[in-house]
Amino acid sequence: MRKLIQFFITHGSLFAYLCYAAICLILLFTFNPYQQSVYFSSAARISGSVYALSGTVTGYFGLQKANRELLAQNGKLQSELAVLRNTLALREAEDTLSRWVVPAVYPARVIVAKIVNNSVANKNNYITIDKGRSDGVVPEMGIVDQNGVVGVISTSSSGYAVALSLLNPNLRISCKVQGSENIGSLIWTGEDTRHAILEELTTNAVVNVGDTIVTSGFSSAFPEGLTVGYVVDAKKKREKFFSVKVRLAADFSTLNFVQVVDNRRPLEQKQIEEEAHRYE
Amino acid sequence: MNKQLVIRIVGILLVFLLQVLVCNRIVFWQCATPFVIIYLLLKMPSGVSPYSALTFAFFLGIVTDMFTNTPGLYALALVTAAFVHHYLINAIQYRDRGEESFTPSAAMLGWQGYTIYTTVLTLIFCTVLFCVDSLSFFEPSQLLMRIVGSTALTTLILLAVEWIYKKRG
Repeated sequence: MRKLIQFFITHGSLFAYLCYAAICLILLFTFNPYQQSVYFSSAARISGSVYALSGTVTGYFGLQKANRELLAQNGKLQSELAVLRNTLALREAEDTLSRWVVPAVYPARVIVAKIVNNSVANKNNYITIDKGRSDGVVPEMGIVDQNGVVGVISTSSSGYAVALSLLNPNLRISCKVQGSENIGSLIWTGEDTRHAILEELTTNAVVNVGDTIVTSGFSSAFPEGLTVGYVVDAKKKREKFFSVKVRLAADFSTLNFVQVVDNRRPLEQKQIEEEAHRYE
Repeated sequence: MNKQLVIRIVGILLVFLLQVLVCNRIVFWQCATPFVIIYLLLKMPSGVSPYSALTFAFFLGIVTDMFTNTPGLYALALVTAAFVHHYLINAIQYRDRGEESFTPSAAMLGWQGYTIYTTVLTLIFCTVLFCVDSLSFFEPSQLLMRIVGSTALTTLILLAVEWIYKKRG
């Protein structure tokens, strides 16, 4: 502190000069239009560049906020995109399935559903779909994809339904060889996911390799004539019934969208059948 | 003593009026203006404290500015010149004089010393005055011409006055 005071004392004239010079400059820039204009334009240039610099710096601080906002927006857009893609896929699936699988002659109602869970590797395989009772999906309904029969609904909750896959030995489907009236029963033996066995064919049936196996229409799950698979091996045994090996039309490992077929028989048919059973 | 003070004040007033009423209206060759007001700084005795010298220069400049309508311009130039004057005087004092107070003159410093003394002070005054007046180096050649021209003219006049005084004794 003492040194500072000493410094001021020894350089007193310098400080006095600086004070007077400052007063002069203030007067100069306050009362002289020319100097004032030069001062203002220079000051504006300097302050402008300082503002520009600070803008550049604060701009970087703002980037974090901008980044957060962009991320939020991005997420929103992506979820919207996912919804739209889903809708589009659903529409496409509806379109494809309606053109390929269910013949127009059947009055069957169809519900398009997306598969949310599917197993192929187990002994008993099940398929879960994202439509349930609230969409009209109830047990005993059949499900098909664009290639062929996939399974039958076994249980349904309000939003979901579980179906027995064709790859489940508990499911038997009444089938026939297309073009003939020989009825058989299709069952999966658990060997591989591409093939099943059509059993209980009568010995007089004529079956050739490559024949198409279709649903018979005798069960309430499927209308008549839906593709199930193709005969790959027609060995004939000298027995009362014989069986053929069938390659399944649906590829169970790549299932995505399916159609639930509402083929429940009209009330009238049900009543008459019940009546018939009563006379047995 | 009183008579000397009155003479001094009258002299200051005369030089001042000469500057603001006559010299400020003279411009030779569009660049040279005589600044006889520097004479008041030149003849400031060495015993005057730097604060008094600066204050005197400041108020002298302010009053001059009132006449030229350039507030702060002459004041800044004169204060700067007075500041340098203080150091010049100090240098002379310690080299030649010891504690004795003196008034710089050609007789005392010699013609060479007095010429340098005058030229330096005038040059500083003119440089500050013209630089602040134009406040830009947009036309450096004209600025330089004005500084050099005015310095030369002023120095010549001041030396002539000094020569006349010395001759008169």
